[in-house]
Amino acid sequence: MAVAAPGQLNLDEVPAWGSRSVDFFEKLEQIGEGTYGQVYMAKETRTGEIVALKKIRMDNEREGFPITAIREIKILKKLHHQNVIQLKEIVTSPGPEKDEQGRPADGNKYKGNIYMVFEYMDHDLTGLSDRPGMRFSIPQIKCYMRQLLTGLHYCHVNQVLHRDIKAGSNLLIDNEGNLKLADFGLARSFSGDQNANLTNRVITLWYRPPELLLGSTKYGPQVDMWSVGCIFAELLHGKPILPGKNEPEQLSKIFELCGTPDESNWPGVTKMPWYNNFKPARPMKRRIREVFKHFDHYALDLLEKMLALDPDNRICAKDALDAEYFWTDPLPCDPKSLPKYESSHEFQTKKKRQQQRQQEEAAKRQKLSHPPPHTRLPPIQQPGQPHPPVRPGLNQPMHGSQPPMAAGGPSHHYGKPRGPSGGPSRYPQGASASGGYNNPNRGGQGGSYGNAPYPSQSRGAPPYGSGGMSGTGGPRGTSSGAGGYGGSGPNYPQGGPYGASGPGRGPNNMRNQQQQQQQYGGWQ
Amino acid sequence: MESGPTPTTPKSPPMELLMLSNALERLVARNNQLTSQYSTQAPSPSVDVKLNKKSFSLSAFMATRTPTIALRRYLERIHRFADLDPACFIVAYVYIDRTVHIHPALIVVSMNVHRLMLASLLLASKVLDDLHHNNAFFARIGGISNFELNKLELELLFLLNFRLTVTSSDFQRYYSHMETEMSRTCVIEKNLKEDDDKRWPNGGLNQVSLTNGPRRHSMSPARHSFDGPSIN
Repeated sequence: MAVAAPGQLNLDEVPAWGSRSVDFFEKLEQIGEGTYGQVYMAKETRTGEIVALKKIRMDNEREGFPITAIREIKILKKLHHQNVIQLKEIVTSPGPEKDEQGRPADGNKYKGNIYMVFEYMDHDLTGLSDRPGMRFSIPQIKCYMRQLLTGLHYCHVNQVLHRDIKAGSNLLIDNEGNLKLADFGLARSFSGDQNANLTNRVITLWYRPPELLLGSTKYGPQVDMWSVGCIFAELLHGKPILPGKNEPEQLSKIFELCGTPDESNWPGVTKMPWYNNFKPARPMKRRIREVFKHFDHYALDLLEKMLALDPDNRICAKDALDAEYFWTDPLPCDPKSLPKYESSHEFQTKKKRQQQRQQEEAAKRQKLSHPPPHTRLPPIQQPGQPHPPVRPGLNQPMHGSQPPMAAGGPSHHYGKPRGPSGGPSRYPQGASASGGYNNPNRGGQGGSYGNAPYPSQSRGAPPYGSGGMSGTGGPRGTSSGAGGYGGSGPNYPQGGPYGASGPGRGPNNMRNQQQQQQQYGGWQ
Repeated sequence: MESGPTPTTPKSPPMELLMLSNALERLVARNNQLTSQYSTQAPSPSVDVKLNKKSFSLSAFMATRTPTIALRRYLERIHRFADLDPACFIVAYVYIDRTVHIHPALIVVSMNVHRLMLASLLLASKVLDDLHHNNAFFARIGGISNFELNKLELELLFLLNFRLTVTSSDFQRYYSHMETEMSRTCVIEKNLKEDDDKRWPNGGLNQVSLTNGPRRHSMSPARHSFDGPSIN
């Protein structure tokens, strides 16, 4: 936006998007590769603010302006929430080409590139959880889950389906511990009556709910809740729980875990469009509690409700936020208390791992010993052991027996303050007026969320970590430790669960039709 | 966005299309008159606004001469091939109306209304329909080049300042406004008693028939070639 000349007021100033050039930003580093273009970390030269620039790929002439970008812009313009990524503006670059008549394309927007400007986020969930030695604590997982549900609840209240919630690149985390939903390229508005015919070719396969796999075209916010359930279990389990290679296999993995659907547990399922194609050969019983017996029972209660086969029985975001899980010890921690990590994006970790793999292969050729493959560590499970008498509001997740994390690295190239991890809580008193659900203290406040101050914290005894490690929750890596569910081993050839050679984080049909490339990039 | 109350059949265009065509024809007639008051020639194509040194104009949408195809037939043609959700016709009008509110000096006239509608319907379809036709298809049925349509699409996006959200209350407001406008038009035309009217059974408006003027001269759908009309 133009700055008023001295002595003048810009009274007719319209904050027109697309009115600024990308030259206002200095590109620093590529941090992602999305369906419709690269993503860069950039600095606004005037203010020094760090942002993410997502380039909109305009090279498909037949498609014109990508529909994913149209949807994303449209939806993000109306969503404003602390757990939803903020789209700040749209900028253009003039581009050197000439127009049809051969005149220089002066200010000719469509000749150049178009960028969406987002607030910068340091990590995506996969990038963060795949850091070597990284292990989330239970309060940390609760903190992320609650933010995820809060953001999603806001979307659903505003009649937006995200339709591509996945553990990886679409959940972004900053160094203040805030989690934000991103990548609304598949999102769409829905109307309450569920009459509209919606495409079922959405949501990355591993996180796709059974109703979509069975061909439903009338669905609602429950599809996102299934994905949240998968992520929840993944965070606790340490790896994706339903890594199907294709749609039939995905469904059979779901049936193995959640039991087979029939008219008694899912009325109407036999009339689903593709039910007969995928009809289970034999009935199987639900095994969630058996497979994940190392989870605490509040977590299991919630997971059971999220992974309900029948979408009508699936818990909604609002009720999930009310689940006992979030209101029993260990409570979700304050985002600000979380350790700060050096920036990590799936794009970058993948690149690093690719390099590492190349080195390994080189080493192999020289018949040297093989370094152990990377594995993600599940959290230390909390069997609900008694707590110190002082109510622990906040927990320092980095304590005692936890493996060292690459925390507190000095703020690198871009001048964001990265103080020591876990300072005293600065959780604002009575804050989060818009968030509603951000306050774990729901006792005695007449049921109103968001008004009560954060409970005073004890920085004394570390309630987790050193004492509470149970036998089942030790570092995994050799076997799933959970009764060999789902044959998890073979899905991760070499180099960890996200081998760049595979289909990425599970194929996503709608996108694959458009672009075979991609799959990574938190900022698709 | 759910479709409006009128069920559509391939034979009769949806009520929303008629409402859009009616609203636009009135707008264009008014503006044509306005612009011709200031100029003895055809409506001037150079209606530009200067805003922060950036010029916003509808010049990209201007035809070199007034397209011969009537607006309503043009819309019917788009609908026949693209099979749009009827809600698109309302949303497309919202976009046009929004554009002229953001840029009050931009004037929709008969020289630019066709291209504006094509771009606007394309955007509405991309926003509303999960299954949508691509720009290449829209360009063919709209009778302009793929390249030009892509340009118009971006032009309109920036004119709209990317404000693409149409809330259901917005939708209802526009819907009832356009509906009222049309019933008013119909009453007037009925009073004029044009004897060569063909009556048009009308699901949305009780007791009101629509004139069917342009349709008398139209070819049957089957005789429409896919490769579209020239709207240069």
